[in-house]
This record gives sequence, C-alpha cells and structure tokens, in this order.
Amino acid sequence: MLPVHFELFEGPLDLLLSLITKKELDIYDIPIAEITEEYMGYLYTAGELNIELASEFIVVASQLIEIKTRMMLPKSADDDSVDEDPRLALAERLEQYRIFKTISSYIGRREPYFGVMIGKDSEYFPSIKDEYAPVDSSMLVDAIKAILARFDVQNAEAAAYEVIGDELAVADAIGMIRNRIEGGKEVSFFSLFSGRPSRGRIISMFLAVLEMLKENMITLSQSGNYGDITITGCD
Amino acid sequence: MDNDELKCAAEAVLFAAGEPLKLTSIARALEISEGRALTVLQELKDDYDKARRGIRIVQMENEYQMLSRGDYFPQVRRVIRNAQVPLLSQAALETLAIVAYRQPVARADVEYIRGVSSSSSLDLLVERGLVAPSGRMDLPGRPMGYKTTGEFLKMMGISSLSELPDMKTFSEGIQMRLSEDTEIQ
Repeated sequence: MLPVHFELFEGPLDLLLSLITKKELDIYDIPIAEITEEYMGYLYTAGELNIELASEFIVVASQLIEIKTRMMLPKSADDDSVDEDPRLALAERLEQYRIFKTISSYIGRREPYFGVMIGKDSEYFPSIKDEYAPVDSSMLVDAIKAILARFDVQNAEAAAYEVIGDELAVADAIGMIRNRIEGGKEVSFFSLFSGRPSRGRIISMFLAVLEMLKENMITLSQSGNYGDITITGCD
Repeated sequence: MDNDELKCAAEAVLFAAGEPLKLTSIARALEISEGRALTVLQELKDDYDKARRGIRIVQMENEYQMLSRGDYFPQVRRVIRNAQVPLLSQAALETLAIVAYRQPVARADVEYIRGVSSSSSLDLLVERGLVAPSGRMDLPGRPMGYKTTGEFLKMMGISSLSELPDMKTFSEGIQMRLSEDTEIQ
C-alpha cells in the first residue's frame, strides 16, 4: 500500500499541532477523543508503512490516552482538590511549542538574506590578527613546567620548613578562578600560583584551568613566547 | 589623525583582520578611546550603507566585521567554491529559536519544548558556529548551557540580542508584520 500523503513531522507535538491547526481547533479546548483517534491513526499508518517513529511519539500517545481516561472518570464529590482540566498541561506545552515554531519560521525567513554575507578569512596572516596569540597545549605545558620548576626550587630552599597540608578541590579552584574573571576581568595564569602553593594545590589549579578551557568557560592568550598567559572569561 | 583618517584606518584594520574584531582591539590599533572608536565605526558603517556598497560593516554586540552584502550572494557564489549556504532544517531552526529566546538553555530543556531528541540539531548548530556551549548551568546534574553566538546575530541581520523581537510578538499572532519587516531590511 502506498499512501498518497504521508507527512513527516518533527515530533509528537508537531503532529498534534498540525491536527489541531487543520481542524482550526482551540489549543485550550481540544476534543481529546477525536484527536487521540487521529493521532493513533497516524501512528498505525506509520507502522504499516514500516516508518520508524521516534519513541517520543509513543510517550505522547500514552499521555493522550491518560487524559482521555481522566476526562471520562466521574468527578468524585469528596475530592476537594481543584478540578484542573486534565488537558491543561498538554495545552500549555503545545502553545509553547507553537510559539517557538513561529519564531523558527521568522528566523528561517531571515536566514537566506543575512546568512549569505561572506567574510574573508584571515588565516593567511594569523600574526596580524591581534597582539595576543591563542594558546595551544604545548604553551600550557611550558607554563606549568615553569611553575613546577619554581616550586621545586622553593621546596629545596624550604626543606627545613614543615609542609602544611594545603588541599584544594578542583571544583573549588574553578570557583576561585570564576570569581576572579567575573565581569570580564583578565587574570594572569602565573598569579594563580603566587605565594608558596603546595604541589597538590598547583595541580588542582592547573586541572581547574584545563577543565574550564574544555567547557568553554575561559579563553587563554599569550603575549609572547614563554610569557604569562592571560585568562579571560567567555561571557 | 583627523576623523576621515581614523575612518580609513578602521576600514584598513577591518579589512586586514577579516574575522570579527573587538571594539577594544580596534580602539587600541587606532590609539583612540573606545567611545571615539564607536563613533568612527558607526560613521564608517553608515558610509557603506548609504552608498549601498557591495561590502557592509557588520556589528555583532561589541565586534565588527567586513562582510559582502547579502544581495550579491548570487554573484559571489559564482567565484567562491563552497559558498553554498545550506539552509537550516526545520528541526535546526526550532532548536535555534529555543536557544535564542531561552539562553543559556540545557539540551534537556530544548528537547522538552520540542518533544523530541535534539542532540543532532544542537550539534549541527554548534558546528555551524550559530550556537556555543556557555559553561555548566547551576541546575541539578550541572548540565551544559547553550547560547547563541555573533554568527547568529550576523545571520539574523541584527547587532545585538536585544534587537530580537519580543517573544510576545510571536504569541499574539502579529507575525505578518514581522515578515513584512524582513522584506524591508
């Protein structure tokens, strides 16, 4: 069997919205039995055509059936709870989806006009882009090596001192860095390791920088070879 | 440097950079204050627009870039290979709409609103540079948040997110007027 029309939908909400729009129904007053039947009809047709629908379609099907059942139940007299329309939650979700769908077509209309403005790449002259160069992993390795080297010297000097536990969780280190870069402030990478941090503290700080970099929370730039690295927030 | 020279310098800097340049970088290059740079760039922008040149100076938040005018894309694409802009799918547009108006937004919220898995749309938008991860959110499970980028502003033809129409505009059924606005721009 080949259908004349078998429309594909973005998802269950898209399908429902289409059924409602076609019949010019009010989202907040859906004839649930009728719509459920049509919805299930679509699912059966898809099944017959061996069209695999996302599992989300089934989830909404069960919600429709649940709403239908709840609407058939008589209201109990001793039930003091506010009689909320069982369709309300779904209606609100549909309305929200409808709004975003409208926005998407608004964006889609602008795309062919503004999305086709071409800029030229500056790849050929990366050096003229800015006085700061982006930092790659080898630069970070050099920087942390320099800090650990300083730590070793300090520790050799301070061999006589007692080493006090100075533990710092990576999550706390992230929090500390985040506070310092707040409001677009630039923070020196070396300044994170000022004073006489323990080896553990240095490692935590460094892991925090790597984690924040991975999560796109910060960007790094370096002003010269082996120079200090500047940390700036991404927002 | 007098004002005209500053405009020329800004023009040269934007041309050389190619990529979007921050206002601070331009001001530093021209050795003027950011406030002054803002005026200079605005005038330069207006000059290009008034003359309807093939190039525009496009502002995205606090960044500026020289771009070919959209009207001449048919001509441009004849000389540049891969200048085809594959239009976004409906799924990607819906995802983009949600990120634009709900940012920063977690993947799960996008999926709840759309009612379907949206991972591939979100990945596509990130790949196209229209959306970027904005760091972990202060929500249970610390999900990654997503926000729109300067590239998105460019695609929308606006210079700041505040220029997006109010969300109410879309719920009150006056989309017709919006579509007319698009034609005018």
